[in-house]
Amino acid sequence: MAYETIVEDNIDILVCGAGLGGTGAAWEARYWGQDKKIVIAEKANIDRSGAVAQGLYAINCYMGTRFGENNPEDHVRYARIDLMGMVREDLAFDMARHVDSAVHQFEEWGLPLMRDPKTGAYQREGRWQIMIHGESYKPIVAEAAKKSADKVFNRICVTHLLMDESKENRIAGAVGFNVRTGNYHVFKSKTVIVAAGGASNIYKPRSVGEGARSRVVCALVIRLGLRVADQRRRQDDPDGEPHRTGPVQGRLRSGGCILPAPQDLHPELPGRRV
Amino acid sequence: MPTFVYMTRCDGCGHCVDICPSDIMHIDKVTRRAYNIEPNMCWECYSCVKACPHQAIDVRGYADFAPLGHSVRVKRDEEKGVIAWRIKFRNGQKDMDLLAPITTKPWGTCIPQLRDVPAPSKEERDSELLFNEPKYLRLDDGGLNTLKSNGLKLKEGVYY
Repeated sequence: MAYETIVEDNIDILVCGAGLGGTGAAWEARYWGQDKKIVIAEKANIDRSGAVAQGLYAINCYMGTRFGENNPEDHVRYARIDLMGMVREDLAFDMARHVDSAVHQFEEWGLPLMRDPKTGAYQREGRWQIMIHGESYKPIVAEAAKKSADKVFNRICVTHLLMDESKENRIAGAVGFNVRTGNYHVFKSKTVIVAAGGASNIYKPRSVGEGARSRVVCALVIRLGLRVADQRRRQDDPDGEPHRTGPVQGRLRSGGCILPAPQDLHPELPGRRV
Repeated sequence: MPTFVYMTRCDGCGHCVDICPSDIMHIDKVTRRAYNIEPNMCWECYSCVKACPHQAIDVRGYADFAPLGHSVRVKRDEEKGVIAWRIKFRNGQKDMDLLAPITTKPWGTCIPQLRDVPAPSKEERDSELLFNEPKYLRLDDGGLNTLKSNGLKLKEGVYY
């Protein structure tokens, strides 16, 4: 059987991976780039992919500043102690100050959040975690992404990112293959948001024997020479359960792009272009 | 707990093939019915069970902890916004009907199309705010937390 090569051109924003992070990124990208062409490439099916795909009955990190519960710096302190000091506090703070607005939007979209009958605040099951009816957590967020993206390519596993030959230090897209048909897919894109995930708990100072993560997201970007800033923990989940990087990270990443800034290029890797 | 398909109920529509994250639900070329090509690689995620419009897919527990005779059935209904589980133990002592909401709003209707909302101003573009912020941060008039607003300083390096 001959495999086809399928080219998708003129993409403005390509999102690799449609877990909770990638879907959130596509959503946020649509707001900041309303006339842009946004394409998602996902290796499974967007409705049920990523670590919360099969449902999750909790949101692992919610500050609750609205109910007077925690401030972002409380979460930074928690993360710092939890990881024996080895944490990028700026990233942890930035995640923590944005996380609540994502949760409030989920509630507006229809995600059933449980409430404490006495206080009216979201039902806690720990300092950071709130309880939800989360069977359709991912399908609901996937609806938002499908509404936001111009095209969703399911069953496309992105394997390599492409750099632009004519412009220095510039991303040009990504290539991958259809896991079902074997067809080769080329995405030519001005920006790429890598939300491939699979990287939580790769490095965790307080435990051994865990971390069966594939670290796809790092594998993709390291070959371009990017330094992976903080692979020690998932920013959104203080419990350290091995799953998603999360909607908030997705939303944050979508604000910028993942092009390597010169200072972030690793000097020993071939992708270095400084 | 790999899945299996009741051949008489399956009509070969392929919803399970679309949704399976492990890509192991396939349509048999001869009988035109779905089947699990590789039960060992089944994630037991129930995605196909929930996706099947005819409740033709069931899940078989491993014999060591769930011997034959039990059943874990599920029906997910986006229109009604609920998911119903029926869990039966084979000793007959337990037969549970569990019902939980999956959404509080009519499915998919309360998610805005961001193409049509007012475009962000230049000021907003240059800010650190995400969509719907600052309003959705606390649903009051409070702004985004910053190091300055919270009276903090960022120290360099690793410290305790």
